[in-house]
Amino acid sequence: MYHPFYSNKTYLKYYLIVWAIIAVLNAIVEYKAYGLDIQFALIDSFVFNFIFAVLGFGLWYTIRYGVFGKLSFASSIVNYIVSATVLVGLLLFISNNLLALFISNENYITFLDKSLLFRLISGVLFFTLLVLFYYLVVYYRNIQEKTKNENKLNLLIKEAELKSLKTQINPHFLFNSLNSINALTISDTEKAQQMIFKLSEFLRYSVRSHKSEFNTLSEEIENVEKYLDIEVVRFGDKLKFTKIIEKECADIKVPFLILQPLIENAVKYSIGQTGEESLISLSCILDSKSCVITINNNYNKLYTTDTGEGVGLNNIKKRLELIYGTNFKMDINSDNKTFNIKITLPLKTNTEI
Amino acid sequence: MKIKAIIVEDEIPAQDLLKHYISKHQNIDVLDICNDGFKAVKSINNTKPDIIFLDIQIPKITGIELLELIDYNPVVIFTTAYDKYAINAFEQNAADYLLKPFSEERFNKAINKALDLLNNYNNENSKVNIELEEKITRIVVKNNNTIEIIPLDKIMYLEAQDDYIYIYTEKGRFLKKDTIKKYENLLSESFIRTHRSYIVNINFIDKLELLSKESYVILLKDKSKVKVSKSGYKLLKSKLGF
Repeated sequence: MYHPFYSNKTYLKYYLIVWAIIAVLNAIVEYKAYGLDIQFALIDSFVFNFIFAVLGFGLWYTIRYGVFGKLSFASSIVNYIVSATVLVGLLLFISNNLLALFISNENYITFLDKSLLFRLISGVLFFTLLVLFYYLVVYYRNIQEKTKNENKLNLLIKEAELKSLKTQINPHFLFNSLNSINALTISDTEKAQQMIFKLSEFLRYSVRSHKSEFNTLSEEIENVEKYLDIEVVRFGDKLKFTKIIEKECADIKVPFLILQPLIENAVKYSIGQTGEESLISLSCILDSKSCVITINNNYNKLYTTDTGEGVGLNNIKKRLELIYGTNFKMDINSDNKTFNIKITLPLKTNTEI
Repeated sequence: MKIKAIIVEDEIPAQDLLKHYISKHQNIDVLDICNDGFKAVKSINNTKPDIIFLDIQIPKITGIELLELIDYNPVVIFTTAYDKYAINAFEQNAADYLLKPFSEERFNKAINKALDLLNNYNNENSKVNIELEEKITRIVVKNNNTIEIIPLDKIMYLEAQDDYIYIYTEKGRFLKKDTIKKYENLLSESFIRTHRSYIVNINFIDKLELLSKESYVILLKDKSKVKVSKSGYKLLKSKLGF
């Protein structure tokens, strides 16, 4: 069970020091203003305030676990009046009896009787201060918890968004590939087998997404090549692919499954829609601060059936925004015959999101 | 007499598979294999096959657009990996709809349906007419021997003329056998049906002229005129907010 003074030893120290100071001041007042013997004054104020400190320590539980936020305003007022009466009553009862037991000086006993009202008032005052202080603690803790929860929630939302934006395997690609395999089982069983293995490897890569948001560029390119091997079976050697990858790029971490949808997009708009000889080129260049990935393909604006950039590219852009914020660039350039996507990513070698 | 067929398919293994399945039916002759929409339109109109094996996602124009450009009514067997057109494809001469990948048994079923249709063939059979659910981004027409793809933003207006529509662009007008009603809800937000026989692209409107009391005509930027009916005027008013 949490207690602001118990769960943190430094706070407990401060709590006791504050009470000690109060006790000392109390003793000085009793000594100077009421002419009490110094040792009586010290015993009196330390015993009285020590008992108060112990009772005040326990007060936390009535606030934190009994009252706070659970009762209406009127009920909590009643609650506080009752607990104040009990606490202060207990305080006076215990301290008076103990002190009378410790000190049998007649002067002091008179003082003890006379100061009852003063003790009552100071008891209520300290009670109020303590309650206010505890309220502050509860309030502060609630705010802290809220911020923590909010941060947690934001992180979850971001994760969910990233998940939903991550490329799902295009079912049409899958169905068409299976159709190709079906054809190859008749004409070329060995090729059919090869295609099954390639498709399996491609699928395995695509579904291992839970591991990390990032992967090395070299593995991303490997996956793209597997994908293109399958597409070449479908479209024949009219589909050509070239790549220029700087050696230093191989170990760069890029968002997982970022390349394949871009290449799939290029396949769709080049050979898929023109039916003519198509060239897709990929290049990755490194400079001091970033990695520049460029994908080029021929296309014909006239043959495209959809408008704008298409859902696929939008998803990639949103995903990059979630991962890098404003710290990346995605430029799309097209004229009537060529389509060019250039992505500039900050160099990132750790795996944090 | 042998039955003539054409395969329209851009993927090599898929072509091979169809050839293989068809080869088991000795009464069917494959005249041509076309890997894009342009070649297919030409080949089909030249050789007039009885059956077309038609992939919908093909280069240049879609299989659906291709059918709009065919001069006669062949029996069509669709082959596609996409199933979004399926509901509307079982009409008149669409014999069947094969979803890739399909088995030989499934293929033979489609062939039998196609042969049935051919045996009961009469000229009353209308064309395969697929109702589109999505908006279109272009209209494809045949102009003499060439195929024109007209993006919507190049179209000024459409005019109905009996069984045909005229599509007016800045480069001239094109004729297409189609009804204007079909296009009323298929075009983008920029198009308004202003009259029983007219759909106009608001981006080309210059001004609205008052002819007589409550009778208007639209003047386009190139000075051509488009008729406006009473209900058309109301539509214009709400769309353009005047």
